[in-house]
Amino acid sequence: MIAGACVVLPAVAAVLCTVRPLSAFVRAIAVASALGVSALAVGSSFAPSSSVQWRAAWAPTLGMSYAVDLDTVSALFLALAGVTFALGAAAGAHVGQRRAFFALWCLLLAALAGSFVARDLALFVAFWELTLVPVAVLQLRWGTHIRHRVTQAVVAPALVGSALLIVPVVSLAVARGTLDMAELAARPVPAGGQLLPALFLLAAFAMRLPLFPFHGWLPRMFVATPIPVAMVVAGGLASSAVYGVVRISLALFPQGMAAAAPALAALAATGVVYAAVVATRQDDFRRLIAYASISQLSLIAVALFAATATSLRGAVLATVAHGLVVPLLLLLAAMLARRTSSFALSRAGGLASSAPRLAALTGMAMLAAIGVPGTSGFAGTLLALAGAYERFPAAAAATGLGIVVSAIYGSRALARAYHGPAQVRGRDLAPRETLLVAPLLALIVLVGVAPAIITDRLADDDLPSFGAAR
Amino acid sequence: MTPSDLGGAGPLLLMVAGASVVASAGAVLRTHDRTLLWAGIAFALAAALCASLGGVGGDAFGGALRRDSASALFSVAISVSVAAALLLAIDRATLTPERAALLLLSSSGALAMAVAGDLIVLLFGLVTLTVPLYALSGLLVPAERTRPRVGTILATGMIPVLALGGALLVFAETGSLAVGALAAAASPSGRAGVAALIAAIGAAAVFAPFHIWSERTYAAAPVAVVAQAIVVVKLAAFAIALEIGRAMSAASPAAAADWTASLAVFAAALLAVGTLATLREPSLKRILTYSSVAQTGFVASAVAGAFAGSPAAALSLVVFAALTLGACGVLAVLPSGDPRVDDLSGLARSEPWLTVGFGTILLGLAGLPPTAGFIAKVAVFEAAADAALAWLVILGALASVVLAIAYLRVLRGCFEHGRGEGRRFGMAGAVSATVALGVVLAGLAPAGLLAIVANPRF
Repeated sequence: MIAGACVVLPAVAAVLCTVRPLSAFVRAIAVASALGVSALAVGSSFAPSSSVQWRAAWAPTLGMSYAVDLDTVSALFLALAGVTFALGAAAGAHVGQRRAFFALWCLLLAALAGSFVARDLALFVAFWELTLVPVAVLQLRWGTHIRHRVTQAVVAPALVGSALLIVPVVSLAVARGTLDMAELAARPVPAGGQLLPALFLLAAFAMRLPLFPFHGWLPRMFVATPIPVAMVVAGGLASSAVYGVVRISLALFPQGMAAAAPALAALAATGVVYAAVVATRQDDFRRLIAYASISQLSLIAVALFAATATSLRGAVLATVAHGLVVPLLLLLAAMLARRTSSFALSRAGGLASSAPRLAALTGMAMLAAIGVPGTSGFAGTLLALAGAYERFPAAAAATGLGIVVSAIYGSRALARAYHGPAQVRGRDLAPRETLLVAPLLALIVLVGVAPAIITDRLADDDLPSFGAAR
Repeated sequence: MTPSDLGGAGPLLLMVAGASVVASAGAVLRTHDRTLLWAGIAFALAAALCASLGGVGGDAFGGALRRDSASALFSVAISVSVAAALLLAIDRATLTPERAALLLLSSSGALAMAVAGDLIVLLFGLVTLTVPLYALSGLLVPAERTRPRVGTILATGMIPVLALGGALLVFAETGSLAVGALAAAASPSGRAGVAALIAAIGAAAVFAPFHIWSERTYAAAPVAVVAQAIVVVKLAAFAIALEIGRAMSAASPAAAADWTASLAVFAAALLAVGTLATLREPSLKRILTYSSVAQTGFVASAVAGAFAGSPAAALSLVVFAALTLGACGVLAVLPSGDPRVDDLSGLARSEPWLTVGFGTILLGLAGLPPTAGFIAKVAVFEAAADAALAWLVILGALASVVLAIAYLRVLRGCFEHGRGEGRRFGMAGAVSATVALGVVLAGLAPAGLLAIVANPRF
């Protein structure tokens, strides 16, 4: 019930947003529904499981059913996504055609929530593909001036990924007669036949994560879409890809993933370093954040492919950290752009003298992105690297190098935008802007200081790890 | 005539009567063109009612006409499709009564193919389906002063000649006219006859009557004619193809395996050609035509998976027919006779709900959730995977990606800035809205639809 409500609430909010008499309240409706989803997700961990899950028939002859449930990891990611959506909606004060924008916004949240709560593979695929629709329309209608060139480059890889996702799902349906994840996990596919389905599934998740070398769409999208949409793509869609790997690839095809893991970990480690190096050369603040995001997600991917108990805990924690830091950075980038009329770091300069609080907060956000102790990134990165080192020492070492490079792009961005000779002047943080960034900062510090509130809830059997040594 | 004869022939007779009334009443009664179109729609819906009420039971006319749930399903689908196609022409009166009568006549041939139990009825149906559409194509453009090209003459005659020749060869060997007799053809000439007949039906399914349409015909064809040509022809051809498949598999199950490989290759070719052709096409009518070729490839994949016909093939056909009619409805809202992607500009601003409906229909055609197109796609892929055609499933998945990109290009056109005058929501918009709503409801709760297609005697 609660899991189903997580999808129904934003869907109803989407319908309400289209109603003309309520057009003055659409932003409030969107914020309220996102916070409601967060509350439901948090509340589900305290409610008995019978009131959380729900089942109904969809197309039994095809093996498809409406089965929804929330486990610890998905509740965590969904709560985080809800907060990001609420802040993104609050940041969207000046969009045109508000009813359509916020209706699509709530629809995107509903589809994302669906991919977190689905316990039937066909339902998961349905929600996975459905998230593309609002993202594409939001970019087409409200994007920046380059949106038309970019839409195909963004949508095509996602479509290819989800097309490849369908292939193993269909073969599982034919082989087992059901697509319910619990039933499929109880009767796993023989180890020899797991590699190919695992790779097909991974293709979809790798496109969305994104994993090097399929990362090309993310920087383009950050530049072409409005900042709120970029926030939720970074925060929500990436964590849904991580969740997919944990809950589907690792749980249903463990031996296949283990066989492919060395190559995949090498690819991900390359991505960490590559993206961090490219980030140091970016002038557009959004592209810098995009490459920083890719670098962090590749680190999470290394931990996922190592698949030890420690590394998976680290991956979950690092995903939470990523979902807090990247939206925060995007919000701060938008505030910078509002003061300098451009996202280019070279156009800014010396802003710290006129906007010291903004400079300080951006500095804190950059430190969080690097993963300094006391911020949310540290515990996750530490656990991820420690766990990955047990299986892939070389990949872990390369990833550590990437973290060092992240310090370079972080400090460079700060120096160019806020320090040095004053080229521009801008107002300091307005109270409304402070209200927008404060929740994320508070959560970053909270998770950084007390990560145990998350890791303690992740029991061993929540995560499908298969030991340190094979 | 016994009651079962009447039940079997009823839809067919009603459609022919409708064609006659629409063609001749104008001269006698001096009615408005639109009234005659409504009369035609009424006759088509009456045929649908007759098929659904009386369409199941004992065979009619000693087995010449079938009356099983498969023929009833396809008869209803064909009748409703032609009614919807005529509805598309109501707003701007783009069809004269004579042309509407030709559409109804062609549909009567489609109905004959859907209920055919023997080869004579099949041939009658095939000829009656295609010849009026050829005549329409000729009527659409002014008479050209040049001689018709040899290629056009050959192409026009190809399908009926192949079918007739094939039927004669089969009859010569088996001495029986029943459709099931096709399985008994064992000699080389008999087998050649079967192959020719199936080739004719396949050609009708894939590209009739577009193989004789010139650029000018495409530009001049009203959307209703395009809708009829795409939807009704394919429904009829697949109806009889599935029946032939069922009859042949029932007679010799071993033969089914032979057909799987060739059907799979046929399906793959259709998918490749249909999807790639849509990518650079500016004309919306042609985009729909090529994508319908790709959809035929999907249906053929389902048939390849279970040659004895399958609920997946029937499901994807019905869903495809509805979605194509909905898409044609949006085309009919636009003022241009040959709408291009550029003509859609400004649609999102001037008609936002129509754009939502159009987007939903395109989602369904691409097989994306939450539409019934997603259910149909999963069903088709499961049917193919069941027959160990994993490569076809992968190809089909990638083909649906290419289709989705082509449809995205069309949808993107709606968001371009433009003035967009002369658009009338009217009946055509109502058809699109109904289809969009129905397709989403069927996607969320497909149990009823799955029950209907599971019933046919496949």
